[in-house]
Amino acid sequence: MTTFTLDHHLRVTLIPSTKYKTVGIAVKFIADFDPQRTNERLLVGRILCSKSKKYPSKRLLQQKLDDMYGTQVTSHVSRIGFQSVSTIQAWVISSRYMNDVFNLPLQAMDLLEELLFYPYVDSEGYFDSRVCDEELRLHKEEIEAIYHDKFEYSFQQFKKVMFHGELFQSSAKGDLETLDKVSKETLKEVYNQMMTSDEKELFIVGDFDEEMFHRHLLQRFRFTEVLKDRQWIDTEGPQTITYRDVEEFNDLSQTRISIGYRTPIQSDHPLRHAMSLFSVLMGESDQSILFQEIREKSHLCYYISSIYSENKGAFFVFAGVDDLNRLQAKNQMLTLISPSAIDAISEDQIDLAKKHLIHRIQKQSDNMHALMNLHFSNMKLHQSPYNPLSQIAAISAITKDELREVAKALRVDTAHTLRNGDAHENHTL
Amino acid sequence: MKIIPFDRVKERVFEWKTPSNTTIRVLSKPDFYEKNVFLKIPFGAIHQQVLLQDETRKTFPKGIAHFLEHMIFENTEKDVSREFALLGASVNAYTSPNETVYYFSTTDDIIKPLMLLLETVFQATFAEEHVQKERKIISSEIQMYQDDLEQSLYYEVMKHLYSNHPIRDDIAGTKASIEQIDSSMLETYYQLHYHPSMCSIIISGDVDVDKIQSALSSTLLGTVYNSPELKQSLYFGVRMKKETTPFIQKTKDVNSALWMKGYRIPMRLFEGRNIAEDELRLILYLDHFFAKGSDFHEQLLKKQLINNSFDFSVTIEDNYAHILFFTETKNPLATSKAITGYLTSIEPNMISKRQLDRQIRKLQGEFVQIFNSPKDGAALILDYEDKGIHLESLLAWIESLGRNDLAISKKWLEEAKTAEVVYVSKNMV
Repeated sequence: MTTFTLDHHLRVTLIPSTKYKTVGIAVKFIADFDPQRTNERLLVGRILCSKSKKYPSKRLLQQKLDDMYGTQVTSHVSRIGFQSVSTIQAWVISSRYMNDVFNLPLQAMDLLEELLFYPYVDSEGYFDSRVCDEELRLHKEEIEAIYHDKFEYSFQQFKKVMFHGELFQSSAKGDLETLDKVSKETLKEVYNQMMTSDEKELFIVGDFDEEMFHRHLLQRFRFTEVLKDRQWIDTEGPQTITYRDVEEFNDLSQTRISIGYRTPIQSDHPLRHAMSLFSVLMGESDQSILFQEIREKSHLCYYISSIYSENKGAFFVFAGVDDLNRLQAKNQMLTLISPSAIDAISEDQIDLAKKHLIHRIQKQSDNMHALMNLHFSNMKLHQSPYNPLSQIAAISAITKDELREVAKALRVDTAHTLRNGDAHENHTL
Repeated sequence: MKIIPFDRVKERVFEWKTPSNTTIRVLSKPDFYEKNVFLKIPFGAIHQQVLLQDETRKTFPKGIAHFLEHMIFENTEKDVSREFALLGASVNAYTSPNETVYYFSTTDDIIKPLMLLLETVFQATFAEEHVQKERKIISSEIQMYQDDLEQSLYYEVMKHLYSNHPIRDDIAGTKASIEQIDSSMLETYYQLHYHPSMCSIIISGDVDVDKIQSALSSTLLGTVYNSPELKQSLYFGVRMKKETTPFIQKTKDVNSALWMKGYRIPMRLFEGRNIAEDELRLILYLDHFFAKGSDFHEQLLKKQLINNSFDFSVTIEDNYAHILFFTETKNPLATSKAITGYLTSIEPNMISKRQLDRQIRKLQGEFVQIFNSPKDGAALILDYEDKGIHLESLLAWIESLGRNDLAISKKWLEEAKTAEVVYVSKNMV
């Protein structure tokens, strides 16, 4: 892996590897997370990927991509701590395939530059109103469709309760509440902000000629560079935690239970690896405590799992159960997530969880998308390149005492149950 | 052992038969951490009825193949998942309409978990108490999928498209059908369908092929077995619905309508043909007219008749063939009319050589990209090679395609019977 800064201040990271058959080229735009601008940040990425001066319709751009052996151009937005990260990227097959005489990866880089710097705008710099309207409609319908996905919907409702008033409640991918405020003016403003005020980073990963790309890059992506101190960890939270137990009702067959905990152990904490291991031990594998106790022994569910959000300092547990079993399942979940549960765990169980986590880290290193994002977040959170070996060493060294410590640090915040019934019955228990 | 080169994607596969007549394939992927093993039993959810060598027929309840897949891990002697975890492997399985696949991934040694997989699949035990326990878990799985509206819509279309073919049944069965399944029935189904000579194995990753071959020779695959008792797995009285099914509308708790239309193609049209080629032929034909980048896709977006959820799929198997169109829409009647009308109006001669070349390039690029992942590459080979289709020849065939090769698609569509189902909200009725 090579990281360098070009004369025009663009920070570039090259991760070459011949084991891949493609090349990924991504530009990341970093700005302070603004809940009033989440829709615009998502929409600008999509508008940029839909047409440009040279390819003035979605159809023409898509045809160009198909001609380039199915090259894909995509955009997405995520949040890390108090930062919004918009990524606009191209994925193209390596020059070693299909007797590529045109150097497709370099073409893809030029195309990405074309999309970013030469968008299809009118003389006043506004995006084409037809494409704005269309992307706005598509975006709105995507948000509305979350309602059809009961997994996602129940998590969204749970987040509204647990993180009410906090930035974490807002989705980085936009929301219906602020969608009416999107206009051609706000889209132009956000695009200009991205190109001028946002911090930018370029990543290239895959099977490519490093030297050739380096030379080519000298003339490309001449952004105005902005560097500032950024907060990559979400520090918001209540002064005191008061446990809430909330029931909501919706049209569904299976009751969904979500339980949220807060923890001071975040990405900059020395116990972060122990907290990740704790989550694996509790609910991230078929050997986990929740899976074994609630599914295998009590037969109360088909799925049960946990997630640790290190940027937020939160730990979540989810299960889908028959409504008749909801109280039993919820009580078991609450009882099992405790320091005393750690006391009952054998060293063998801890070793199994370590193996599982190490296996996952190694697998992630095989995946180009994951590799790029892990390098990026590691640089931001820990100011060092992503190193799976040091992570594996840290995980191998975790002790039972450390697991007990992370369990002690957890504070249960919210239990949310989504049940079948009319929405007007929603209440706090 | 033979080596099968896939020159176009710069891969190679080692292939041999064991004394048990099991086909073993190894996709060598140097430098990847992840190693995968897939063991395929060529029977799945549609195989509910069998003909034995003595001409006896047996019928099993819906969901039995899926129930068996769950039970394979319920060994009375040991905790199978834990044994895999101790070896650093994550094991799982899935049942599709046509097959049941057991697989594991690891970043450690592959031999020991491979031996364990063979023992697990071919030395299964069925205790009634484990059957009772697993029934509760499967029941919860069925309940979970009832909240998946897209899956529910799919089965509604299947039920109207096929009159008594088991493809119309939910893979997991129903709560009532799984009540009929007991340990002796599972044992009978298992003895009939899980014969080493009928299964195939594919391994992918940075592995030592000679070591694998040597290790397998000392397992149960190193033994010669009698022919399986099963003569034919079939379903009786498969019939197509005679009349075109009208537009079926159901009220659901949705924000946008969910619309799906199926086209069932009579199997007689594929007699004596290569169905893998025919499937790709039809994909290319429909892709030309409906994929992103086509004129019609652009029109549908402009008229707000589809959104980003719009998709179509082509499935041609030995005993069923259909095309499915799906989208969320605010105006299902107009969407249906537009897509149905357009499908009848399109002609093969509307495709230019230039356009076909573009589509072929896109498809070639997709094949190359799949091999970025050892797991996806192995799954693709498992799918094609077992049908006797050599991937390199298939790619060569794709390159040689001309417009006339797609012409037959028109006839298939003309002879297809349809079923159309839409889920609408109360407000839309």
